Amino acid sequence: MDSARSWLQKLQPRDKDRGKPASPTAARKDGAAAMAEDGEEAISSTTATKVAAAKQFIENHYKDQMRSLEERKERRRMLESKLADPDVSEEEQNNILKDFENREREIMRSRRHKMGVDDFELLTIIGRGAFGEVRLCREKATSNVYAMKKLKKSEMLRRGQVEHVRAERNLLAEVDSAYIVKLYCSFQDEEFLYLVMEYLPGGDMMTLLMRKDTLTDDESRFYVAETILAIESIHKHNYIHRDIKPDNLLLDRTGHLKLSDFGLCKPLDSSSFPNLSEFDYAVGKNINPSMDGDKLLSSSAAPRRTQQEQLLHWQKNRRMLVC
Amino acid sequence: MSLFGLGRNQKTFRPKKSAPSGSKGAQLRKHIDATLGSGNLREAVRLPPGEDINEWLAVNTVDFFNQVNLLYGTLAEFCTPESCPTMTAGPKYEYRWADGVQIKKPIEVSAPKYVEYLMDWIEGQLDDESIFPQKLGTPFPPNFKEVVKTIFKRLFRVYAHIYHSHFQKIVSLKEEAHLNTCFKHFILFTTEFGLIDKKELAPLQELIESIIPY
Repeated sequence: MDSARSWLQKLQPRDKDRGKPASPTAARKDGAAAMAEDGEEAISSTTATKVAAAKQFIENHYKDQMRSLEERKERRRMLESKLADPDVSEEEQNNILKDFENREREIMRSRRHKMGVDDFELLTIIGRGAFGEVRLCREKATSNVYAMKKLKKSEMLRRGQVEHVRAERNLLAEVDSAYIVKLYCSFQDEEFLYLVMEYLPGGDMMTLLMRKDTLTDDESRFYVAETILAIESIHKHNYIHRDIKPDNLLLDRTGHLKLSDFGLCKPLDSSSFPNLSEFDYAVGKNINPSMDGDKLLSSSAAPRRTQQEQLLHWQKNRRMLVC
Repeated sequence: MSLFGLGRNQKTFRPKKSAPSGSKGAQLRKHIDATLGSGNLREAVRLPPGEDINEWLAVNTVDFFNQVNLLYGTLAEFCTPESCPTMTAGPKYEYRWADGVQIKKPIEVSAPKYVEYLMDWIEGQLDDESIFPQKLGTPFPPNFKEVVKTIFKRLFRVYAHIYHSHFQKIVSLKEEAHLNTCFKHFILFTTEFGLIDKKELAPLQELIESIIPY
């Protein structure tokens, strides 16, 4: 397997939710994400996501493989130049060679290593949720500090939240953005699922607002802009967050904002969008649509609405959008 | 029953003598050239100097498992019990499942069920510390290469099914370069270390000959 920080462990193809064959109806629930070129049936957004992830993984795998092959050759060249030194005795040469081969064996074996909870030293609890807790943890091999989200499987099954957690894991593995909290790796044991994410020591926006009470115009502009960039980055990957609130806007050590908690996120299917046309907006503003040169629509196509009706119409559409 | 549930004499591979010999191989052969720029795969499969062969087999087995797993996973919507009621590699070859432990007598199952059994079985082997040790210093079992050969034989069957039953879908998903690269790498590796018997490779013979001319 690739190194611990690689895409492989973000994706964890060897973990148990391997994407077992789903029924075609289940797979198509998300609607059409892309159309096959030959005019066959549309593929679901689930499949589109899997395809993109598989391609990315395979491309990265071969890049990494070629790089590690070159690195290995380089290590071998250095070894040979060391062994060619006339001052090195035969016994020393044998020891150097043995040491080199043992190290290479360790590298090879570490490539197969599956991350698990034993690879981390568990520190303080920094949050609790419906399905478990979030702990500060330190990776034993590197001493890097992360936030480990621990989710109880039985509780998730009982509450029917498996798909939400899967969507969260998939999104975090797929989206590489400075404005999204990074997933380091994911794994599971009999009882729990684990998401190991970057630790953001700056706290959340809610705490900041409570502490400061009022933000300056410049601060507000800055945080709103970064929030928009964060939301845009997940929309670009065809997901919607559906739980944007100050508690889910975290701050890193330099004060930059990152979006977190994708437990309610959902793959986006543009084909099921309600028709939120400019025309609807114009009616809400009590502007006569026939006066609009760009949109000469017959009155039968769009009945005139009062502002109250328009508000109800907009709310209904908004609900459709997040269902 | 052999150790680790590897029944060697199971009749799980059933060539059909009466089946028509179509030109599927020739059709696939036209597409095999679409690959990723993935460097020199012939060099990539060779045992590095001074490396333990078992470590090399182990790390590559995990890599190939992950690749097949991901590639087949993209077809979950299309490879269903309805579309693929049996695990076949074209009209001439059919596979039945037996693991020698839970299922001793080969049974006919749908392709998705077969692949599910197969992947679960392989994953069980990969996670077994006594077969694929992860702790430093733990040795490989004496029959390790036999275990690896069985894994590779079974992974090949997934490739054979994908190429024969779902290649058009792979093309429409624009995945053929990825599939071909992984398959070429897989075949070069199995050839380098003699991991799959020639008769097992028959379903994709023409394709393989375009990779490694016999």
